[in-house]
This record gives sequence, C-alpha cells and structure tokens, in this order.
Amino acid sequence: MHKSISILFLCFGLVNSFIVSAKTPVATEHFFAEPDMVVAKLSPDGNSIATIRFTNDKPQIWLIDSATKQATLWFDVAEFSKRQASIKQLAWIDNQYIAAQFVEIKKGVEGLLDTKAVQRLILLNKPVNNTAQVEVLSVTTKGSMVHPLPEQKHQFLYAKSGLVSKIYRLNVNKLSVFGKKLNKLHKIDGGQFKKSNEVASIKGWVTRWFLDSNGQSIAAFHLNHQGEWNLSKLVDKAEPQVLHTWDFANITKNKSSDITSPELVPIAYTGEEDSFYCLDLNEDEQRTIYKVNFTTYSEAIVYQSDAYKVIDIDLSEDNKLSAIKVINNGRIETVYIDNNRLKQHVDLPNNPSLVAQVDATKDNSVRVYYSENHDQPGEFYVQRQAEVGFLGAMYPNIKDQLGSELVEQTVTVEGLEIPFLLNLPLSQKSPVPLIIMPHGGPIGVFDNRYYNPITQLLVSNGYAVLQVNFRGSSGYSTELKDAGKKQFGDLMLKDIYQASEQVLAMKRIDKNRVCTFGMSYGGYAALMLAIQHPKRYKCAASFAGVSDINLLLDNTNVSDKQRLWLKEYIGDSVTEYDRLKAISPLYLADKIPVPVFIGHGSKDEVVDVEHAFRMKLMLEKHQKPFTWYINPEGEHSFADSKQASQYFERLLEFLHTNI
Amino acid sequence: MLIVSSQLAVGQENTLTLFDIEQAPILAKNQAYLLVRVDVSGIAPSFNFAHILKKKGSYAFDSDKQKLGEKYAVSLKGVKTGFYLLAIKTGHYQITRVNAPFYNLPYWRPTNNVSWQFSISANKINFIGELNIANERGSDYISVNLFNRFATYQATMSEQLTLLLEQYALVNGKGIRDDFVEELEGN
Repeated sequence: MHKSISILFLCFGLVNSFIVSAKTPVATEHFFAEPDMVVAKLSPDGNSIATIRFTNDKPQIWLIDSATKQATLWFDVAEFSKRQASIKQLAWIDNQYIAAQFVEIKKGVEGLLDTKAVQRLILLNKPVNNTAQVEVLSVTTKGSMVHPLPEQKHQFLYAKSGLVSKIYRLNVNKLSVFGKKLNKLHKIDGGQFKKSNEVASIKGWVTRWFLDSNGQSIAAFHLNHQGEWNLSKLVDKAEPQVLHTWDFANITKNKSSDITSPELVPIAYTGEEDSFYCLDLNEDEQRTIYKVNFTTYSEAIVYQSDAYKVIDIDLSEDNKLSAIKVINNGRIETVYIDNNRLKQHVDLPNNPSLVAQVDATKDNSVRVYYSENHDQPGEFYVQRQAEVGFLGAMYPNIKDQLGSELVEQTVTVEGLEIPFLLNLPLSQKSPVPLIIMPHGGPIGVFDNRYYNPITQLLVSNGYAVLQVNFRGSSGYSTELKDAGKKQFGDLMLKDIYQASEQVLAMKRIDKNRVCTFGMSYGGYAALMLAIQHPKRYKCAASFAGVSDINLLLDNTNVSDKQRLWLKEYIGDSVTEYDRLKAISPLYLADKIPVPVFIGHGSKDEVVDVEHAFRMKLMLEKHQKPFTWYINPEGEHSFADSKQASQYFERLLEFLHTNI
Repeated sequence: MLIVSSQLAVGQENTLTLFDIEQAPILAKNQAYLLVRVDVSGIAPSFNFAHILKKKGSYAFDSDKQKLGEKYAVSLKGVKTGFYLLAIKTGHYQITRVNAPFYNLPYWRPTNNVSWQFSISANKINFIGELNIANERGSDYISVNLFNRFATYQATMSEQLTLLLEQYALVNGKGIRDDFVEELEGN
C-alpha cells in the first residue's frame, strides 16, 4: 500500500516531502475493515472466556482458555440465520453453558410499525475438546433471558410477556436440542412454563424487567389494561406499586408538546431504591443516559454516546455502567465506557486512555479488560493474578501500526468554552498540513478522545486533524449543547474557525496548507468555512453534505416529531426561508475560492442525493473546479468496508493534490 | 409503454391515468403539464391529490384550516420506473394520500403537510418530484416519499423531453418555496 501511495503522488506530480510520519501509512482498507473481536465474557470459575468475533460480517462465538489462550470456534451464527443477525446478550449460565440472545433485524413499516427485532435464545454446551460436537439447545417459547443466575448450576431466569407477564426459572437440562422436532411424549421447553417455576408476575405486557445482581425481581415497565405504561415496583407477594405512569398515546397526538423537555423511560435498575437508568424519547436519537429516581424525581445525565443511538446498557457487578449497546448502520455494537479508577490497578500496554472492566470472577482473581486509545482501536486482555495476557483485537490488521499525539484544548468564543481535539503525526521533520474535520449531527453529537478510523487514516497519511466540539455538541455540558440551537450556519462555524486559528498559531502546523473535510453537517461546514474565509483554505471536501438547508427541512422522509425538532433546532423553511437560504452553500457557490470535492451516496435517506446534484449544477454554472464522486449504492454512511475504502482513497488523492 | 388516458368521474373523485412522455396529452384550456418520476413497487400502488382552494403564495400550512376542492386519484399499478405526464388545471395541489398495499400489509401513508404539495403553472412542464415507494419483500419494509429531485434528474429530463421543451419551459412544481431553479437559471 505504501508503494501504491507513492505511485499516486508521482502520477499527480506532487512533491510529497511534507508527508513525514513515524510509521508507514497503513492501507486504507484496514481502517474500515469489519471488526474482529467485539465482546468477551468470563466463565464464573474464570477458566474460560467466550468471545464474539466477526467473520464475513456474521458473528461467531469462540472459546478461549484463560490460562493457555488457546482458542476454539464454538458456534457460527451463519449456520443459524440468513438474516442480519446480532448477538444482543452473551452470558454464562454456569461453567458449562453459555446463553446467547440473538436479534434478527427485520425492518417494519415506516410510520406504521417499528422496526421488528426477532429474538431467540440458544444455549451452548462447552465442548470437551476441539473435535467434539457442540450441543445447541434453545428456548422455543417467545421471550428473553432476564438473568443468567451464574451461581446456580444449569438454571437461569426467562421472561414471557402477555396479558399477565411472568418470569420463570428454567433448567437447561430440560430444554430440547435446537431444530429437533418433538414427538408427542415431549413437552415444549420441557413443560417448564408452569406455576411452580414462576418467580415474578405482573398484569399487562412487560417490555423490561428490572432485577438486581442476584436475580431478585425489583420492578417492571409494562403496558396496563388501560393502555398506559407503568413502572411498577414488585413488593414480595403484595400488589405491585406503581412508581410512574406514561400516557404515550396523548403525547403522540399532541404535536405541539414541548419536545425540548425529556420524556424519560427506564432501561435498567441502578441498584439504588426506585432509581433507574433512563433514555429520553424526545431526544432526536437516544444518545443520552440519565439516572432518575422515580420517587424524588431527581435526574442526572450519566453518559452521552458520541454519535449512535443507544438501545441498551451493560452494568458491572456494582451496577455501574460498563458498556452501551448502540445501533450503527443497522448493527448492534458494544461501546465500552472508561473507568478511570482501573488505570491505577492494571498495567495495560500502550497506556490506553480508555480502560473498562468487561467481566470478572466473583473473587476478582480473574478479570477481562477492554482498552482503547486515540491511536489504538479496541483490545481485550485477561488478567490472572498479576499476569496480563492479550486476548484479541477489534482490528488486528492495525494493531501497533499507528502512532499520533493527541492535544486537547479549548478556545473561548462569545463567552463559551469550545473544546477541541488535535491529532498530530509523530516525529515531524517540518510543519504538517492540517485538515479541519467538523463532525456531523450537528446537535447532540460529539467527537471523543478515543479511536476514530477517519482521523487516524488522515494522520497516518501525514496530516494533522482538528476536530472541534462546537456549540450544539453533546458530551460536555448542557450549556454547550443548548447553545447550538439555530446556530447551524452562524456560531457553530465561528467556533470551528476560532479553534482552527488557535491551532494554526502552533509552529508544528503549516498554516499555508489547510483543507476542510466533513460528512453530513461536517460537509456543510467544510464548504461554508471555505466560503467565509476565502484566503485560509486550499480545498474543501464534503461527503453527504447539506448544500440547501431548506431542502433538508422539506424532506417528506421526516416524521411530525422530527419536523418539530428541526424547527426548534435548525429553523422553519416556511417562516425563515430567506435566513436559511443565506447560509446555504448552494446559493454561495460563486464565492467558493478553492477546489472542492463533492461526494454522496445515491441511497442517502438523511441528506438526499439532490443536495450533491444541486451543488454540482451551481458549481458548473459558476465555473468552479470540483471533483465529483457518487456511489449508486451508498447511504448516509458507508455500508461496508469496500465503499468506505473506495471513497477515502479518492479523498486522500484530492487532499494530496490540492493542499 | 402505452398508458391509456382517461378522466372518469367516480363520485367526486376524478380518476386520472398517467401518460408516457412520448405521448403527451393535448392541453385543454387552463391546463398545464404535471411531470412526475415514478419509482414504485408493490401490488397496486396509487396516490390521491386535491386542489387547494387558496391562493398560491402563502406556504403556511394548517391541515385543519386547509380547504380542498376537486379530488383526483392516480393508479400506479404496473407503472414502470420513469417519467410520466398528466394534463391538469393550473393551481395549487395537496397530495392527500399514497396507497402502497404490500402483500399482507394494507398500507397507506397520510401526507397532510407542505412537503406533499405541488403547484401547476400555466404554459410550463411542472416537475413535482419523484414519487418513490420502496419495499423489501423479505423484511416487510415500506418507505413512501416524494423526493424533490430537480437537479438529480435535470439532464435526463432535458434529454427525454426534447420536443415538449421546444414549446414549454421545465419548472420545479414543488408546492413550497424553492428558489433553486430560479437561481440556477438566473444571472
């Protein structure tokens, strides 16, 4: 790959002496490859680790001996499902069996039914050796596992919803082999869904049960017979006590309801009485996790996802957040959460900025850790006593291949502290060119200090990369996020510009070689910065960028609720048409002073491909130089590694030529 | 593809049939061309629209106050992906519903907001956008949209409408304010 990059430079007649990096540029495709290892779960005795790894976009479960690190393929999902399937939950039932909750994604009907997620629980018996046949059992009755009861051999808790919803204690030994037809003498699931196995029960359809770490039922979120949603506390054998009621039917009908006030619904128990982790249904996409006490109604934000919609969370033994489950490109992914205290107790390679404890035995003698750094994608380690061993990496092809310096600073703009991140190549012999890369969103999204493949691809190719968490960004403070309201083309851009000016004052940055690049809102900002500051930048690149704000707002793909949100945070294309037109790059195309790169996916359902075509026609009208890239199968982000690699190769070519 | 023209009154609703662009209907008095790109799938899709009894110029929308006049229905059954014409009276219109029955799902989408309005100006070919019904049999997924894609299809429309463009100008027929074409063609 290094060779092909060099050839590329020669073809374009460039002097590439400024591309000085400590390490050889890593092949672009490696940055966008499918992840390898994504989850690791420790058996109760600490002797085995079950990991989820991906092969050809399908998950597999591998078994690793925690002492010898010997790995054996345990289960291949591709043999069980032809659909897009994920493993939502993986939990050891005891030292012999592991339970895997599969989710098959089936899209629903837009505006009528939600996307359907079909779930299925299977249980795998640990093979005695590499060649042994793996026994796969399953629960046929619809429902989900709510607690693995790892201390109780062969037993786990399974919930079934209906007019009356119940939790049952099931025994693995009574379940049937997956896919095997039962004869008349065998009962479904061993006839275990009976009164004597009930451990909790409540009237109405339960969507979430809340249990403590010992498997004790605490509360349930359920639809009652009056059509209301209740959070009910379970009190031994007494009637459940309603903690809070939601009337979603009326909220939906009332279009003018205040969408800026959170509508918090519980997703997990915090371990403290009447206190739950919650998501906000009024958020554009659920990225913020709150901790709410439904007796005192105190609430606090405990975590914000940088970009993706949160659908579930993982808790540690002491009920602290250890990971979140997010939807990225339709696939469920696990994002680990940094636990700063751990860094003092475990010495992991490369001094990672993110360390999370993924799992541990009850006596803490064996632990599994996840680590990540701005220039190192996720890795898993196992610690037995004092010895730390490597288990696997999310992206093995770039393990130890990257190296950059991360600088975190702030700049004050109009009285507000604006945080920014600057990634610099190591061992520079001369000032390096800079890419200003604003994030998408723009509201409620942010760039974090951890690994970002696009940033590291650019750094690997010799560029410094600036990411500004301009007003409207989440992850820092409510003040910063709220300050972004209706600042789409105003103070958000000023924040980015002021941060870049501060960075350009550094001797290590070549202020004469600066380009902008972004995706979605970032693409919009990239073009607008070039328009507003014609002498500062050498080029601008926009992928899936907004070129006409009014066109974005008038999309028929937007629901009534989203329309209200857009009016509140961006503007109203009816009453504010002229203001929004004045800050749309489409109508300022004659002022673009530098070469631009317009890229888009034809199947983009967020920012329609029309934005790119309009920009193209306007650039042609004004005889402005531009590079054009349309992916007929492309969506708002890259569907696969091939699409991403293809685009970023073109982007690198554009940057190398024009910066 | 030959599509037979008819305009039959069914109660208060007129049933219209799309014309291939090579067989443009002759315009009657007060009529102009509606041009739509259709990209639909499903068993028997169709859409309904109605004349808005209100002067063009105000884009504010209130579904409760909106007064609708003559109503129309257009079948899209068997219509291949491409551009089609209708000859209809000049004025401002609201698409009121898109029907997209799909196997066991009798689905229709209400469309009572400004994004589903279009405008027909005299002596023009009014491109109202791309009516798109996308579905996936394997996953019961349906998405219904009217995409404002004048720029996306400008080159194709110019190529296919050659003869008609000698007589009539092509304009964006979206019912909401959109200055793009004006700015593109202006000095």
